[in-house]
Amino acid sequence: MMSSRVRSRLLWVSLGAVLAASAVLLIVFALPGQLNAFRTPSQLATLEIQPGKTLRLGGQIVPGSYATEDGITHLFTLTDKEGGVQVVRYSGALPDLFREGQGIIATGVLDGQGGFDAKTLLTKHDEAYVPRELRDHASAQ
Amino acid sequence: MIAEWAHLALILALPVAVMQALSALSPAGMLGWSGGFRQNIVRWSALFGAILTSLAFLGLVLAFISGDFSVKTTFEHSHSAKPLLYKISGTWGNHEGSILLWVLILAVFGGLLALRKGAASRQDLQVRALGVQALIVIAFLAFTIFTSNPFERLLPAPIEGRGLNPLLQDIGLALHPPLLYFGYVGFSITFALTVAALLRGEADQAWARMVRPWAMLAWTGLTAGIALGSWWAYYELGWGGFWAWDPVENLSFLPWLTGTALIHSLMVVEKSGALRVWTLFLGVVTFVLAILGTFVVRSGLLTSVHAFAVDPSRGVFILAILGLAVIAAFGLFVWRAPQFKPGGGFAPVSREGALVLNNLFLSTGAGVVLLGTFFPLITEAFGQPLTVGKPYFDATFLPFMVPLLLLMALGPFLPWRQARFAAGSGGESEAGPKRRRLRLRPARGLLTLLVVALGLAALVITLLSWQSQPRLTLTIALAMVLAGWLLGGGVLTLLQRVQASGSLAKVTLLGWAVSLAHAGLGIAVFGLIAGSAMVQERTVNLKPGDEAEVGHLTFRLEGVRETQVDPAAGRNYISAFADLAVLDRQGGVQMILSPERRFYPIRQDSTTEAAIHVTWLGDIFLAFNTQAPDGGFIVSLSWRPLIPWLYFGCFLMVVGGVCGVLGSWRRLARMSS
Repeated sequence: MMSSRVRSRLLWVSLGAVLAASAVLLIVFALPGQLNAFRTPSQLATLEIQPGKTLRLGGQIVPGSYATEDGITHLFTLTDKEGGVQVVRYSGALPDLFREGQGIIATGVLDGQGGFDAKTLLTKHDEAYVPRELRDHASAQ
Repeated sequence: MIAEWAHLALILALPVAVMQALSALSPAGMLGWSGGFRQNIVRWSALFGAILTSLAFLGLVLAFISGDFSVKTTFEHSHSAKPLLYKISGTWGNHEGSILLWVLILAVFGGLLALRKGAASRQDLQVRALGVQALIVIAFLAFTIFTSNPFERLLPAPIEGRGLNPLLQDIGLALHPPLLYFGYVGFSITFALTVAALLRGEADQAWARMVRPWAMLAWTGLTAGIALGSWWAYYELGWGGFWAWDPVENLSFLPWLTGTALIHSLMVVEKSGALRVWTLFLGVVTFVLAILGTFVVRSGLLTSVHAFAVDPSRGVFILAILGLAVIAAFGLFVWRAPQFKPGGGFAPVSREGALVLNNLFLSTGAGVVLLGTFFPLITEAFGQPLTVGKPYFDATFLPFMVPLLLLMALGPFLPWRQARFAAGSGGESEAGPKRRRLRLRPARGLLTLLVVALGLAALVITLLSWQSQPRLTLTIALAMVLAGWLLGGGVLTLLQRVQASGSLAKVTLLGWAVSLAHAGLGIAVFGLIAGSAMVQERTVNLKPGDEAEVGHLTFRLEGVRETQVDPAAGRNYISAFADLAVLDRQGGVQMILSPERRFYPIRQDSTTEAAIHVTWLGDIFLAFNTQAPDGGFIVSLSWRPLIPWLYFGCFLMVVGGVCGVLGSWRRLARMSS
């Protein structure tokens, strides 16, 4: 009686261990391709970053830099407190709180020709919120 | 004046909670009170505390309604020209008010636990749980009063408030936070009962029976809260859609995963007394994750689309509470857990076995989500903060959900098997009839499941005929088979209960709970898959008269019109509508949908209000963005198949949850009378 109970407990514990191990394996295999570093325009200028690698670019939209021709593709420049600049291209609908002079985080890739292709733009949810990375590194105020 | 009384009530709630904690948790001999007297003191303190907190909250709501701008919170987040609904929901549309709502729900739950005079056998458990509950109330009341006081004054009082963030002027704000908090805070009761059990060194079947309705209640609230939040993020533009693996979303999902594990492991404890230590662990973990969910969002530690402004001193206070709760509860757990004797055993292939598997998959899933969510903080400790996105979660979380969903359809058909090991447990008397009732005819059931699943897959592949990528189509079809399997399992569970009890009317509430929750998840998975992989979307520049096609739909911009501010009609904004006609194959106008762009003069903000047409097959989702320099209008047109089923599935799960609450409550009442 006792032994079968111990055996069944052993079964469950080892199953749990197998699951945990497979979780670790999945994470180890999934992680390398999925890590998105946070960068500022100044860092992009000094670091050699491969085009096509996803990263999160944070900075402040330079007033007067926003331009669009068809209303669908948007161009603007991000800057940071070290004075670096980076031109960003984004296609689609702009977030409601997109404004010149505001800090944003753009997730996307370098296009290899000096531009940054953003897939998503993180703007503020309420006007007092500043994403932590921007507060720490990138805000030009 | 009302605000002063409300403030006073809030402050008074603190000593009441202190008294409740002291009288409940002090050693028996110290106060020299009889058990019954102590119980009454504790119960009445809990009820009185709930009333005081309710009065405080009511006072804040009244300050928002009447526009008392001498209250700082009201000044900063309200405005007299705002519809009544948003004045009320604006009460919790800010940090201070939402924390007060949290404390309100906490105190009311405590009051509910105190409401029934526990039977003599459960008296001690109730008293101690109320003591633990009071400790939580003290921590969060102190947090509210000292760092986030919603009743802070502004003198002289301003004449007009700043207005509520327009994004929050939405029915979503009225529903989502209260339900989410209901879920989070509901787990404070399961936590209190768990800690009380650890203190007493006893967690028997009666204990599990008592915890179950509360766990179900919290789970139901959390499910509804997450579903409504997902729905809100779905129709609000720029919030990443119904699920984006955003940190704030993940943090609400974590207690849901462990809470789901908890309601399942409680069944095993109630049935056979096995899994007690694990269940106690889940009881502690789930509430710790719920606190984490509420407050990491407000601590500014993680960057999110859904985050709000924070004051760093609050973050420290919250982390102190969290740290204290974690150390105390886990310390107690580590100290006491070895004293619990192992409960009844069970065979690997049994209902208990399936429930253990459920727990293993859910907690592994919770583990990888937790790691991914906190990855930026972990990596920051070693230098650079690195975040992980949707691909990480898809690759690590989904592999554990697929087998879980596969097993989930089968679990309810497996017989309880504790009779074999009955020696160590007291549940033998219950086991006999149950075992006979739950005989399944595996071949027939499996065949039906398979037919349902394949039929649904065929349907989906037909629907998908316009998809050009075969690999994607295959993946989607396989996922749909899984969803169909799950839905079939839920339906079969119900049919089997009907067969066993003789008629539909005789199916127990708990039978309905399992069938509805499982079938609901299956239906929700359909919507989830379609919403993740089958959406067709275009952003186009249209001039009036221009046409654009998306998937099988054709749209024509008929024109753009504007409306002005009209306080009498509850409109504190200027609107521009783009009237888009949906054309049928012959070019006739099927209907006109009008996505809207609003401009709020008070806060100089604009918002985008999507126009959504819901059909059985999917949503037509249109948004009006802006005007281009060439005079054209920018609109986003999309076809989102099967999305309504995601929310219908969640609705069924919530209904299932309500059945579970009532069913387990009734059982508790019957067993203890």
